[in-house]
Amino acid sequence: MNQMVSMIPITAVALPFLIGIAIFFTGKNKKLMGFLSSIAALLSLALVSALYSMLVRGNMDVCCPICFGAGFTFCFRVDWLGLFFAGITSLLWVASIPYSIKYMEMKFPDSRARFFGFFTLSAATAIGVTMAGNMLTLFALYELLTIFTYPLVVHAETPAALKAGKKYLVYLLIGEMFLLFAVLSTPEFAGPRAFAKIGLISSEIGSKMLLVLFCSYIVGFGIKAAIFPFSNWLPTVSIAPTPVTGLLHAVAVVNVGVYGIMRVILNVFGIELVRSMGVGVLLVFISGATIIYGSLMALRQDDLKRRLAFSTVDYISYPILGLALLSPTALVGGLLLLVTHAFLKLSLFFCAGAIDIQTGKTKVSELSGIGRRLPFVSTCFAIGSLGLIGMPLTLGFVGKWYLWQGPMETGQPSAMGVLIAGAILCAFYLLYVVYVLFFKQSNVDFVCDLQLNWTMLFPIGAGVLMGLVFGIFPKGLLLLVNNVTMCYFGG
Amino acid sequence: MSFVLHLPVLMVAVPIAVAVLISVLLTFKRNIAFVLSVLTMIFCLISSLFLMVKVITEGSFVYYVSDWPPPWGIEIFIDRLSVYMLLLIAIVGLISIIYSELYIKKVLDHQKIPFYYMLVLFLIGSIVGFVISGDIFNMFIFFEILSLSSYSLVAISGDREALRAGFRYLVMGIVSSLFILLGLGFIYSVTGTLNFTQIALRVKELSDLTVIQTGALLLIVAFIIEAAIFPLHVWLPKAHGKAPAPVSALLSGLVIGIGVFGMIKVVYYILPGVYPVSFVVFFRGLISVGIILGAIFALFENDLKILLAQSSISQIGFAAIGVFFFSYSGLMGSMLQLLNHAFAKSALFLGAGAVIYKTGFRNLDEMKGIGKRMPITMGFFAIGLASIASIPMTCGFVSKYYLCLAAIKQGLWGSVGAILLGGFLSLLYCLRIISCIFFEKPDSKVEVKEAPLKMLLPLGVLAFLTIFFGVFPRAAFVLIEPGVKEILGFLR
Repeated sequence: MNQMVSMIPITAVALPFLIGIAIFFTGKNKKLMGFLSSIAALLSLALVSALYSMLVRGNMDVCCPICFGAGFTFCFRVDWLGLFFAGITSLLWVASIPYSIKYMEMKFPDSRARFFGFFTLSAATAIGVTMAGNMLTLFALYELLTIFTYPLVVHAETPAALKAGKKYLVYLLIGEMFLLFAVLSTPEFAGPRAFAKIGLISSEIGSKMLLVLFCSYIVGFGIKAAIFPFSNWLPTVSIAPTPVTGLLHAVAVVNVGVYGIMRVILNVFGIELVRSMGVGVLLVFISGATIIYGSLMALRQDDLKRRLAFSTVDYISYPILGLALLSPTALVGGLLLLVTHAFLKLSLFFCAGAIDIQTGKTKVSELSGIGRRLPFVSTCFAIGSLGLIGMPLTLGFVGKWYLWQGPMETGQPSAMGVLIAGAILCAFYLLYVVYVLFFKQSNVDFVCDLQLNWTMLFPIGAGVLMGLVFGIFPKGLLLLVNNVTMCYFGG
Repeated sequence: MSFVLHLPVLMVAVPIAVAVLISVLLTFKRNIAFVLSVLTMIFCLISSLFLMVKVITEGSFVYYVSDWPPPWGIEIFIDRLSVYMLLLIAIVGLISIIYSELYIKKVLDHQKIPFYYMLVLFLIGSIVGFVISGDIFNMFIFFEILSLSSYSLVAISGDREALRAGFRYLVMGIVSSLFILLGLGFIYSVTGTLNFTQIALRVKELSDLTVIQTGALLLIVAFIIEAAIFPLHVWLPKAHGKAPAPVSALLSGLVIGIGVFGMIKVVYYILPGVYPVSFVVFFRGLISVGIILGAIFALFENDLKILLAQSSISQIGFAAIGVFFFSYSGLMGSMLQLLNHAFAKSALFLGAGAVIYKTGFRNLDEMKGIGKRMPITMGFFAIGLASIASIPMTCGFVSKYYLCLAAIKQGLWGSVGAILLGGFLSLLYCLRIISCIFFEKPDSKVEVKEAPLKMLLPLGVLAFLTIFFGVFPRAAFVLIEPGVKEILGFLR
C-alpha cells in the first residue's frame, strides 16, 4: 500500500474545531452563527470527500504524525474503516444543520451560541476520533467528545436535564477510565501510525492479561456503544434537544463506540488472535443480550424519544454482532445496518422533534390521528420504520441479508435466534407507533398553529430517501464496505 | 555570559532585599510597594530565562558563594530541574503579584498592604533559595523563612478564621521544620557534612545505613507535611481556603509543589538509593489514599476555595507518587504535574478570587449560573478545571498519562488504580463545579459584571499556559527530559 503524508486529515478535524470555538463569540448575531455552523459541516464533508477520492485513486493511507515527545505522539491517519465512519458522520452532520437551526430557534431560543459551538465541536471531534492514527489520539478525542456533548445534554438547564447529564458523565467517564488503562497497557499503540498494522499486540503477555485488556477495551468503548449492562445512559439523555439526540446520540457518539470496538478487534488484537482467544462468543452474547434488552425496553416506552433511544440501543448492537461473528459477510451486513441506522434513525428522531414542535405531543399514546394532520412527517416516519425493520427495497433489507448469512457461515444458531427475535420485536415497537399515527381514532382535537417549513422537512425526507436509494442501488455502498472488510479479511 | 552564574544568588537576594526595603519605606510611601514587587518579579523571570538558556546549552553547574568551596562555603547547585522550578516560581509569582493589586486593596486594611508585598517577596526569595541550595542546612534555613512568611500571609487579614487557620499551619509547620532539623542531625552525625555531593560520597563508604535511613525518613516526613500528603494534610484546606486569593494561588500552586521538590531532592540528590522497599511501598500507599480521599472531600465541599484546597491534596498526591516510582516516566509525570498544578490551580484560585472580588460569594450554591454573567472570567476558570480534571489537550492530561504509564510499566496495580480512580473523581468534582456555575438557574437577581482587566489578564495568561503545555508538552520537555535523566543517573 502506498503511503503519503498529508495535512488533510488533521485539517478536517482542526478547521471545524476552530470554527466551533469561533461560534461561541458570535453572541447575538444569529445569522453569522448559522452561517459558521453550516460552513463547518460543509468543510468537513468536503475534506472527507477529498480523502475518499485520494483513497480511491491511489489506495494509500494518509497520515500526519505530530510527535509531542518521547512516547507521546498524536497522529492522524485515514483508512477505509475510519473513512467509512467519518463519511456517515459528516454527511448527516450537513443534513442536520438546517433542521437544528430551525428547531433551536423555535424550541430553545436562549444561549444558542453555546449550543451550536458545542454542537460543532462535538461533531468535529467525532469525526476526529475516526481519523485517529493511534490509540492515544483516539482516546484523547474520545474523551473530549464526552466532555463536549455534556453541555448539549444539559442544554435545557432544567433539574431533570442536569440529572441526566450527571448520569451520562458517570457512565461514560467510568468507561474512559477502563479505556485509559487499556491504552496505557498497550503503549505500542501510542506510537506513530499504529493503526497501519494489524494485531500489534503480542500474545506473549499471557492469556490472563490479554483477557483483562480485551475486557477493558470492550467496556471502555462498549459503554459509549451502549452495550447491555451499560446501556441505560442512552435513553436518559434523550431529554436533550432533538438535534443532539438525533445526530449525536443516534449517530456520532454511539458510532464512535462501535468504531472503537471494531478498531480493537480488527487492529489491536486482530481477527486471528480474537479467534484463538475464543472471546468472539462473549461478544456475540453481549450484543445479543443488548439487542433483546433494547427491544423489550423499547416496547414498554410511552415517550416517543425514549422509545427511539432504546431502539438505538437495540440497533447499534447489530454491527457489533456482525463483527463478533468474525466472518466477512456478517461484518459487511453489520456495517450496512450501521449506515441504515444512521440515516433512518436520524430521520425518525427528527420526525419526533417535528411532531413535538408542531403539536407539543411527545407520548406515543397521544399521537393518534396525527397521520392525517402531518402527512409528510408521518409518512417519512412510516417509511423509516419499515426501513429499520428490513423491508425489501430498503437498505435495512440489504444489511440484514448479509448479516443473517453470518450465523449460518460460522455455525452459531443462537445468534440466528437473536436476529430473528430482534427483527420481530423491532417490527412490534416501531409499527405500533405507525399504527397509532395513522389508524387509531383520535377523540381529542388539536390545532396546528405553527407551519413547518422546508428547512425542517428537507433533512427528514433526505434521510428516508437515502435509505431507499441505497436499498434499491446498494452497489456503491457495498463497494465501500467491501473495501473496509477486505483490509482485515484479505479478500 | 559569566554574569549568569551570579543570577541564582541574586534571585534570592533581590526579593529579600526589596522586602526589607519595603518594610523600611512603608511608613511614608505605600503605593511604591506594588511597583517594586512587580519589578523584582520581572527581574526574577528574566534571570530564570537566562539560566534556562545557560543550562540548556551547557548543562548543570555549581556555584560557590563568594568563592568559598565546600565544606566551608555555601554551595549552590543549579541543574535543569531547579531552573524549571525557578521558571514556575517566577511566572506564578509575577502573575499573582499583578493580580494582587486590586484584590488586596479590597480585602485588606490600608496599612497592611505594604506588609503583604513584603511577605510575598520573602516567600518568593525563600522558595528560590530552597530550590537552589546545595546543602541541607541552607535548605532548612530557607524552609523556615518560607514557612514563617506563609503563616503570616494566611493570617494577614486578621479575622478569626484566618488567624485560626494560620495558627494550625504554624503548628504543623514547626513540627515539619523540627523533623528537618532532626533529620539533618542524624545525617550529619554519620557523614560529618551537610553538602549534597559530599553526603552522597560518604554514604557510599558506610556499611550500616540505619542512621542514614532514619535521617532520610525524617526529612521525607517533613516534606510530606509541607506538601500536605495524607495523613498530614489536615492543615491545608483551611489555610489555603481562608487566605486571600492570590496568596492561596501562591501557596497551592508553588509552596506545596516545593514540598514535593524537597522530596525529590532528598530521594534523588542527597540520599539516592538507600531506601528499603518497604519504605517506598508504604509511602506510595499513603499517597494513593491521599489522592482518592482528597478528591472525595472535594466532591462534597461547598465552599469553592476550600474545595479547591481539597483538590490540591489530591493533585499534589499525583506529583508525589511519581517520585516513588524511581523511573523515567514517573518522574516526568511528577514534574509535569508540578507544572500543571502551578498553572491550573493558581488560575482556579485567582478565578475564585475574582468571583469573591465582584460578588463576595464563596459558596457554590450562591454561584449558580454565574458563568453567564462573567463568561470570560469563568471561561478561564473552566480551562483551569479542565486541566485539573486531566482532559486531553491540557497539561493535566499529559502528566497523568505519564504517571499511569510508569505505574503500569512497573506493574504497580495499586497505584494504577489510585491514579485512574483519582483522575475519575477529579473529573467528577470539576464537572460538578462546571454544571453549577454554567448550567444551573441562579437564585438571586444580583447584577454581576466581568472582573476588571487587571485581574482577567493574569488569569488569561495562566489559562493560556495550561492549554499551551497541553498541546505542546514538548516545550517543557526541553528542560525536564535531560534533567530527569540526569537525576536518575544519581541512583546508580
